[in-house]
Amino acid sequence: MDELTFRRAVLADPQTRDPEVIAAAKNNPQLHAFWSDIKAQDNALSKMLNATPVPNNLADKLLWQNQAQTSVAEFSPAKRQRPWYYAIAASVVIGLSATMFYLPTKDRSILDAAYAHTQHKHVFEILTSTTPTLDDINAKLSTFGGELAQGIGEVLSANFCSIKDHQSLHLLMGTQDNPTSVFVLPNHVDMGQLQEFNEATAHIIEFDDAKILVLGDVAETVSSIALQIHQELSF
Amino acid sequence: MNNKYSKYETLVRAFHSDIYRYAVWLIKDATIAEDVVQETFMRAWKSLDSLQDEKAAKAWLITILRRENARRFERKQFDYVDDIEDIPLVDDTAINDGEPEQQALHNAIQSLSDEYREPLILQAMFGYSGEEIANMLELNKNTVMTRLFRARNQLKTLLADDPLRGQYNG
Repeated sequence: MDELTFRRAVLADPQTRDPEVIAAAKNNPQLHAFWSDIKAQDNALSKMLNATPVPNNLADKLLWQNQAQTSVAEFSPAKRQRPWYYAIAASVVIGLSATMFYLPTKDRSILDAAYAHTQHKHVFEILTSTTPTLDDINAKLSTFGGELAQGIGEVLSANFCSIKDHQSLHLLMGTQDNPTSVFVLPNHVDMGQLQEFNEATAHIIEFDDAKILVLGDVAETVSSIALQIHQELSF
Repeated sequence: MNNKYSKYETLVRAFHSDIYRYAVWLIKDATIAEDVVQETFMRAWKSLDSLQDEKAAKAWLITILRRENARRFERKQFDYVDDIEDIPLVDDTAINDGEPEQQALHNAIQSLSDEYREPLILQAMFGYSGEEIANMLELNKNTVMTRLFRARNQLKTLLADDPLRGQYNG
């Protein structure tokens, strides 16, 4: 292989395994040195390109954006643009309008889906998640327009998930052996016909901008967490 | 729907970083890059059913991103029809300042023309072969290899001329 062909080959692909290129480098120290320089430059280039910082929570933002857009298309195709003062009026009444319901009866389909999610996913979510900080949780809550004023106890994981096609933020709280689930759902989720639900204890907390479902096995724990959420969470 | 969402979530979590990094280097502006990445994934959601080979997912997303970026230029041309010059926005905040050698390399990459920078980034960032790059850029392989050769040749010259250069002077 002549020198020009060699240089062309390694400049086109420094990681080439072409036997002719390898043989040429072995027989010519100058070509070998040239190739080494190009490889060093390529490694530095690769390192620099792959070190480009990625915004925090970009994945969550992308997932939320998808859910928001598909939800708008699905649930409010003829939604009118409201004047800006509606937003101010809504924000004024948020603090007053949060209501909490104890649920001897609930939406069967949403609850069933949420309950099934806790049965199948909670072990996976705990094992694959790092313990989130209050800032982590608030970053995810911000996609729903929510914020926790302070910690609400032991949060094992905070992951976005889909409950019957509704984007939800799923917080697992308590202990790994007996976790309680908190689902943050968009306010347009129709809780539907309330029915008896026996498999677990549940509370729903309704805010103007979101609905919270607290789901667990121990009634006292569920009540306690629901109360904390009601006190510390705002939208 | 749930299966589709799970597939989409996996796609987002697996590839959002790579796609964003590629977008930053392609577009040279981190804010616009993020917008284009969002449009890319929305487009991916809409045509997720067409993704048959999951091993090719990253290349599929890169192709979508390139099309979304081209659409951005079309819209820009329509919006700013009187603009004569397109001044590239080199977003230095997206890249760590780092050592002088790294800064020199950064400057050199940014100064390459699109036709040379793009295949070079695809190869150096993701390790794609000439053939894979040719498929993504809809070029023949020989053209891609020639562009890669010229890109590195120019890079070498730029680094040799750069006062910040250190070790890349072979």
